[in-house]
Amino acid sequence: MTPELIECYGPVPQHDTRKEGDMKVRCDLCPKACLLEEGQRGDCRMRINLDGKLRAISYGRPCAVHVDPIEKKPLFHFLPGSGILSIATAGCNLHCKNCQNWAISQRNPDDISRFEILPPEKVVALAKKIDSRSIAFTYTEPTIYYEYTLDTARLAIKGGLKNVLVTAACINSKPWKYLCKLIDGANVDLKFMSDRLYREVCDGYLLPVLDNLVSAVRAGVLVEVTNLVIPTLNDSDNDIRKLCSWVAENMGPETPLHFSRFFPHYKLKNLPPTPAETLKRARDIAGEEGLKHVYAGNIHMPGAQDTACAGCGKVLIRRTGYRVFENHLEDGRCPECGRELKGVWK
Amino acid sequence: MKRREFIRRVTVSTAVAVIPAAAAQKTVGVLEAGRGVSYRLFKYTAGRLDIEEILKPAKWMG
Repeated sequence: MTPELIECYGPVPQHDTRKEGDMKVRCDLCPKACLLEEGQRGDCRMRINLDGKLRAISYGRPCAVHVDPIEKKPLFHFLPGSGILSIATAGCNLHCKNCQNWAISQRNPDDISRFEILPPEKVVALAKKIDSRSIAFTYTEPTIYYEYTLDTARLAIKGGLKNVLVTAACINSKPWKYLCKLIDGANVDLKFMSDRLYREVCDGYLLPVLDNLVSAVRAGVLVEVTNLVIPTLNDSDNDIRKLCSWVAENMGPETPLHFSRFFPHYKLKNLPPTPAETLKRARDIAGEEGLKHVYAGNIHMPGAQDTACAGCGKVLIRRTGYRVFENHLEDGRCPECGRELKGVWK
Repeated sequence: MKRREFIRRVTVSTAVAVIPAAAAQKTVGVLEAGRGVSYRLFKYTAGRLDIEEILKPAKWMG
């Protein structure tokens, strides 16, 4: 433990800790409920028991600060075509074998912090300076750098900005619901519809994710769902249909769903990239299950990223890659039939 | 100052500071520092250059 690290500790979280015994602390932020000895860090690598108190050591220390097109999150029903200030700190409570960002998500915050200290007020000031209308907490797991996300989101709202989460949502219900009050849009990874696969591939759990998806929708957050289609793991018709029917039934048929193409990464290099045919099949199945806005990502597939009116079928937003080429929405409505399109448009 | 010396000096300074640009500053160049990091160079006062990192889309997903 270096002195430099100790100096950067952020506020002690008040809501998610309780002491057990003398110096042990149990973290109540995520379902893993790590019981930490003095000096031990949690499974997420960024929450440490120091002197009997849980400390969020990545607070104000992002490892990534970028301006992305919002379509990269991906969020297709949220201020389309806008740039978004995107931040992350190192660490994650999941350990997905296919993680594309493993170089920052599976590292200790004290090993890779590249930026100067960037407290919440500076993040908001930076967003305003670059004319970003929203801030994304993304790349790793924003629900785990919880205090940083929370404080920055509060200030962003005061500053007239919107907040976006890109998350796996494997967090306990209480802190999640509290965070949702500050969030305008979220892209949530629904990785599998099997708890066994969540445990084996990601070291996570399915049920908290499903519960959090529903509670986010109820809290008024614009939620888009991403499912990474991995050959042999979750690419069968049955897997895809199960996921689509759950989304349609529990989140509504107009929930945007993104099927993302898998590429061999990290510890899953033994599997091939997802064939384009599989993604086409997934979109067809989603349509059969009643979902209105289904996209394919990580792949060039003409038309698969366009947003069409759920009523008359007119293409309202035309995209290629992360770029928006046409946007025909008028006050969030289809100019042809007047039907409202679910989303955040201004 | 020879071009090679100029670049070396700026590169060294980027390692220690990221300085926000004042409104009156004017971009005089862009330095590609490698690893996808770029810096915008500002002429601040006579004989002094300030630098600011240019925020670009991330290589990370999400």
